[in-house]
Amino acid sequence: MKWATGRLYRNRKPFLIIGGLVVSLLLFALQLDQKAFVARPLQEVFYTPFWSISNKLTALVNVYNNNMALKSENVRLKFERMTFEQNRLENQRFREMLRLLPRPDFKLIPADVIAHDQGRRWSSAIIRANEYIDQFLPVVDEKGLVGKIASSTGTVATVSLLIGPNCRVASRDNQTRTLGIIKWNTGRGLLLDGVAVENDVFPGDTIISSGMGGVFPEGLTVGVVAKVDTIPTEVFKRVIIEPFVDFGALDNVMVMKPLRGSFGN
Amino acid sequence: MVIRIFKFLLLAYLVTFSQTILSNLTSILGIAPNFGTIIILLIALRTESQVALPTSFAVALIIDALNPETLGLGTAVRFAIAVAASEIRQHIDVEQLPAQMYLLIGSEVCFQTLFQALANSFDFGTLSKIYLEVSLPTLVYTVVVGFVVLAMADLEFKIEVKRRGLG
Repeated sequence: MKWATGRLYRNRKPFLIIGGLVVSLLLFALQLDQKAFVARPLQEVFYTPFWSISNKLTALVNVYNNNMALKSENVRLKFERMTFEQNRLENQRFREMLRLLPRPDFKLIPADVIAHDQGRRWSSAIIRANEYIDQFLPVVDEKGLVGKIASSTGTVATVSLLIGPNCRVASRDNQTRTLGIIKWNTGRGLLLDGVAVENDVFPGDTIISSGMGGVFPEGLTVGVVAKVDTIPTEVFKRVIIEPFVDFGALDNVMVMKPLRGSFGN
Repeated sequence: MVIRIFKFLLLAYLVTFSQTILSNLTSILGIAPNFGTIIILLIALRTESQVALPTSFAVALIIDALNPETLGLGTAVRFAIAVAASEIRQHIDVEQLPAQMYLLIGSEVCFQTLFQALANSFDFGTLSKIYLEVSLPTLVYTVVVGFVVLAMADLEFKIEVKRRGLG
């Protein structure tokens, strides 16, 4: 017996080869359920930990991918929401303008302010509309008069703003009916020029366009009287007007196009 | 004995890791390298045949357990590769990387041919399709990955030789 065991040990290589191949082929010859029975313990000992890790990793990767997709969606939705909010505010402003300016003899052309001339103390702005814009047309927003079209290249035009030196408006005090000319002031606000010392203008009065210059129709709100200085030696009063329009926050405006012929020049 | 068992368990888990997580991570268009062949070859080349053969058989069986449908077939083919590599090792110098690469290519060709032929009952219509769509890309991918693994093993071997002053 000892002899046989020793001999087997010395020549174990052929036995290992034959044994291995025979066992393999026997396993291959088994029925599928029998194979599964043999494979199951091996799977449970060796594969289950890795399957568990693999499943967790896959879940983690899925969560990461979902997270990235949601982040991207979130950015898109934020941008969309921002656009909707802009559109809502724009819509609101235009509605306000239409409510304030129910002028049957004018067509109101909506336009966006696309640039400012900052080098010249906010004296002009560039606007763009979807329609052709003529020169010298009045420009308004929901608060009041903004200026007039100085030049146009079609749908893009330069607006001379009310606070600039190139825009003057024939105006009147809405309460006292006193006439004057709105022009730019070197300091803060606008100047109501040409108001004689004997004419009444009081702080808090609303100034509107008089319609006399030919460019601006009557009744467009310009501003409110902020200060009135009467100097006995002077012929005219010095009337400072605070404009209604916030020229630092111009966004959407309306160009007033007369429906029958030219209103202005 | 305990250290031997520990080493074998470590190897077994390395094999299962390569068959599960590593295969998934390295899979390109559903084609993963055949880590089984590379590991079997490394065992056959790096250990004495008396140890290499039972270890290769056990490793092949563990790899095969992943897919019970072909249980035994993969074991037989991989074990045959281990036997062949173990025999070849005794007759030619397989310490050089090119020789190991030839052995790897030969082993993988044998494995893919034998395994697919036996698994598909020599149905040459199906066989040619599987060979072109699965076996050939797997073979190429395995050779590329095998080259990296064997080169690293070769480098480690050379460093070890130099460290021991045997070179």
